[in-house]
Amino acid sequence: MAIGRSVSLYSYQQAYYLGQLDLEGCVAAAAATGAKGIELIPEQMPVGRFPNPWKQDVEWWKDLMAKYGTTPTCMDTFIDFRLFNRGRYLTLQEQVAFLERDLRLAAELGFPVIRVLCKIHFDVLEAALPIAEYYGVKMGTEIHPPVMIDSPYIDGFVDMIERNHTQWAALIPDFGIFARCSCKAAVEQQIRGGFSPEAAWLIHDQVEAGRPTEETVQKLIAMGAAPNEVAAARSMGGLPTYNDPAKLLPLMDYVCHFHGKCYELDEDCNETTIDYPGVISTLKQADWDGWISTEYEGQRLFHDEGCPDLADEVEQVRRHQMLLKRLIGE
Amino acid sequence: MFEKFMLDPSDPIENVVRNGVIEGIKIKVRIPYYRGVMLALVQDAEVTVGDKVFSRDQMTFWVRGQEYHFEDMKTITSVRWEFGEKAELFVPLINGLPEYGPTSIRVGIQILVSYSPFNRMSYAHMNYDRSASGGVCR
Repeated sequence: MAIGRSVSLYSYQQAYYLGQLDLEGCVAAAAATGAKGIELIPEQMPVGRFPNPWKQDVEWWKDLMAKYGTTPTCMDTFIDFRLFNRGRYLTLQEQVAFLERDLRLAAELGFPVIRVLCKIHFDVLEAALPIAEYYGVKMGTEIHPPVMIDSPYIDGFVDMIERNHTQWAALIPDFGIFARCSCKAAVEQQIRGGFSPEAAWLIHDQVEAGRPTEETVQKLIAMGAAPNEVAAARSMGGLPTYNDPAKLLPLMDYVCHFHGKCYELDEDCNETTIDYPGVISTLKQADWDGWISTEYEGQRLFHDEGCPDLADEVEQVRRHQMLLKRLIGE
Repeated sequence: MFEKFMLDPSDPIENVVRNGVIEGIKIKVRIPYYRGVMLALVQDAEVTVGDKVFSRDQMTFWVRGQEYHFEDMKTITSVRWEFGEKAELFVPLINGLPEYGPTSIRVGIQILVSYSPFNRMSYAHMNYDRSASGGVCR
């Protein structure tokens, strides 16, 4: 099928939160862009109830997919591994139990893949392989900033897949790992949050120019920046870490899905921070089959108190789908 | 996250009356996170009304008509506060809100996000005027 276009309903979180779109409204908005795939976070927009929908909820969901000509692509899951906050993490067995809860729900709703957060250790996925096989649902671990493609974690994950000769564990790269810089709205939000404009733009410019983090930190310290500004430069806090798309090539056999992260689409339907042309041309070169889900996250940059503006999620998703369509060459 | 929308100024704030005495107020609040969570993950809350500060253990949390003490919520995994859903905080503000004039109200909620190193209180603020908002004392 080559590359298919999907929309993660996460993209419409603001409209849903404010009661402007319900679950069907989100699916309708996604379908109106021409996307044929739907990605869902059931803990955000439950089908009936989470985690145990009634039979009629499941039927309603399947009818909904049929009505809009869409198909479920990926279901995003969470394991709250610090659930009881008693200074301990959930044990491996407890985490597997949550994974089973989510795999069962995904199978019920017709999702072939679940997204597992990158902070969940692959030991948990390895232990859950028989469960994933039983339900016929793949577990895709997200490659999300600050995780880099070249990392011991990804190497270990791939070793685990190979060791088990399994198709039930895979990778879901998030396009955020191909971001060259943060967008203007993100810098403006930092400034509203108390960063000095000089520090906020310095961090932005340094990242855009591909300068090393330590150099940025030293420059900030030299200009008398506040500790939280220095910490922001050091942390993942919205700061991109650019990976060369070519580094995907040896991993393509393990990639089951993509999150098309986006923050800001301009009027010409270009994403202003992420290397979309580079990544999509790599996927075409590898002849990769699968879905890319639009995951618009720029609305969040306008949600701080006192921010006068709001993002138009429906329009931003439409523009992102236009970008994908153009690059895929539909 | 969602600080701008945690409080909806068009929601009336009710005085809670028991045995003819105004024991406090109930403030509606939405979750400052991008998904719903089990109650065990609602880690902290704080409300400031005028110059009075109320901490977590002075208040109770109401979701879909049921009251919970924060201490008890630490172990509750079977009940959720859904994304976008309005829960209520009961704040023991003796005599309730004044009938006229704006009162400054600030609400803080902290959700425990397992994967985040930056867990902290999210705050929202509003100036609430009972006489202007239609928030009639009940």
